[in-house]
Amino acid sequence: MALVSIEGRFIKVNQSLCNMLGYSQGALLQIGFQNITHPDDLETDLGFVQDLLQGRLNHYDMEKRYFHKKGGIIWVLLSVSLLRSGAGDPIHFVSQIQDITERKKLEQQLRQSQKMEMLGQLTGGIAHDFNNLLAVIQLNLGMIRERLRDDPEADEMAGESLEAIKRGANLTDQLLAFARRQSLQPEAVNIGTLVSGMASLLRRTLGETINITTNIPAGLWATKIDPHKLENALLNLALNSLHAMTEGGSVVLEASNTVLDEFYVAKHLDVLPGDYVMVTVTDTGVGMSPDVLERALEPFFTTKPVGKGSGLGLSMVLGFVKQSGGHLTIDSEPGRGVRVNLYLPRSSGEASHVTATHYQEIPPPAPGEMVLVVEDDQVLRGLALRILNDLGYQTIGAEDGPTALTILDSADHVDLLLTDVVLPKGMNGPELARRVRSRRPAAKVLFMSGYPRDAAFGDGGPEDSAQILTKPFSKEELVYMVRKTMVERNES
Amino acid sequence: MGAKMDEKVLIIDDDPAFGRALSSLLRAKGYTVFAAMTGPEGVSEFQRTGSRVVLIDLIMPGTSGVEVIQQIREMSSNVVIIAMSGAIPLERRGAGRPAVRAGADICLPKPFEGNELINLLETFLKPPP
Repeated sequence: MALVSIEGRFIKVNQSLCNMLGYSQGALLQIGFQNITHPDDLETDLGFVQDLLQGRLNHYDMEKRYFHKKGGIIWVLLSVSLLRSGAGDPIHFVSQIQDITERKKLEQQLRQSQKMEMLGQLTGGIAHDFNNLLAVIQLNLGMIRERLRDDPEADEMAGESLEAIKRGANLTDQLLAFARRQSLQPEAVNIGTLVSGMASLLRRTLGETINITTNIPAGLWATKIDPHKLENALLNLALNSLHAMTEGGSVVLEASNTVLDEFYVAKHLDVLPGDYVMVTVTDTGVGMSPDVLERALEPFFTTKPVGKGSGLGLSMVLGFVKQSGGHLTIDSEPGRGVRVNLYLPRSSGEASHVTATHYQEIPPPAPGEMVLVVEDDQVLRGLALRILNDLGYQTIGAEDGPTALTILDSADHVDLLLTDVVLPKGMNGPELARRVRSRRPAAKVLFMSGYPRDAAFGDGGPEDSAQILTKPFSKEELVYMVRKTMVERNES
Repeated sequence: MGAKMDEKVLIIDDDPAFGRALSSLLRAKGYTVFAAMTGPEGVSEFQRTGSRVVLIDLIMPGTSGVEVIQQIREMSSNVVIIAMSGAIPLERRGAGRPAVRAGADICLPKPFEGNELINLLETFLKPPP
């Protein structure tokens, strides 16, 4: 929440807004909302402000973007009204600001996923129709060529046309790959050996300006995958890296065992929870801007000059990974290289000696231990409750601080408060923790935060020793941190 | 080795231009060619002509190629059925799974060279040694 002057300066801000935007109260009071509003949203916002001042509106709501102090965008739902004096003169604005960044991210993912699905159907359909056209041309041209066998010039022209048909057929084949209609021949594959082999091949292929290293631990899980297609995918990624590093650089090929749990799945569309072997290709090239990153997987999208790339490389890699039951993510920033993660599903059957987690080592909860989970994100709250419940904890959930305190007052005992740092209804996580501790001194506190510690708690403050679980976290991390918090505080 | 003049080939494809091109190719190589543009028409043409070979498109309006393959295979275990489709990737020459499961002998991705089909027919029609 904030009070804002007629000119747009913050007059009063609460801690949860400071946490949201990464500023201390003092720093935020030095600036106006215009300074931290995304330029694309500013005009609309200022238009509404004028509507309020002119009396055309009593109140407005809008979704807009602020810049976090550390960079990055915070999407908010802003509700603004204008306080006037008895004489009707404007005094200041009253703004309610709710962080909706996570929702926006999911919406964006959903749009992108629907778009890719549609593009898949479209490209598959086009490939089919186009192949049928090529089929007619190829057969007729072959027969024409036979009739013109005595004319060397005509023979050469027909020959070149037939070659062009083959190139067209190769292109439609790549479209079919993106549309997940390629034929895969999965077999039990030792990913480590395959990736090492690819590294040797790439060292010979990519030249001396590119330094290729591998990081492949022992004990990788078994996967059942088409090895040739995986090699092809890695080659494609490496070639993209090569093009992004004209001055030379490094490519790292890595493989590791990874568990994608409910938390991860809740934040990513189109992926199932489970065990995966993750193969990662990282380069030190020019990286991608957010706009490029968003479209990088679309067929025919390329940043290469006309004629230098089909724009189908990454699309084919995506098609292969999805058709194999896997998942793909790309991390990149301009100037910071690109990291592509291929998650290939662990195959059932073959046993592995590696267990993914250290969570079996953690002692189980004592009977009757009660965890109060305070989180305004309903999905996250539900997941946390379910996981802790499954492990034998008693649990109770609340969506904000005031609700949590009401529950606390009626509960027999609460052993742990697991709370988000940023909460709605004017009471943030640290404030809630203070109130809980004053009522139940024995209760332990574990914070969840989407920001690093300093951004979450501002400059210093009473929570320097707080236990923090940084979002996004895995199921194992949640369980581990809950247990650690309980045990450590008991010992101290 | 040329084909025998009396080998009958039935083409089932909804694309008339492709059907004509294929007919010209096969007639030039000495085959007797029949053509149908829908699945049901193809089945009755097969019954009428008793063709030795059926060349069939997998994706047609109405009855799909796979269904037609099933029906024809039930009528004859000897007929050579070659499935064709623009939606089969190039590498899946032998094993267009649904079509082969339904009874096709092989799948041929479109586009293909005339000679490839002719060689394929000669291989399938070669009498056992």
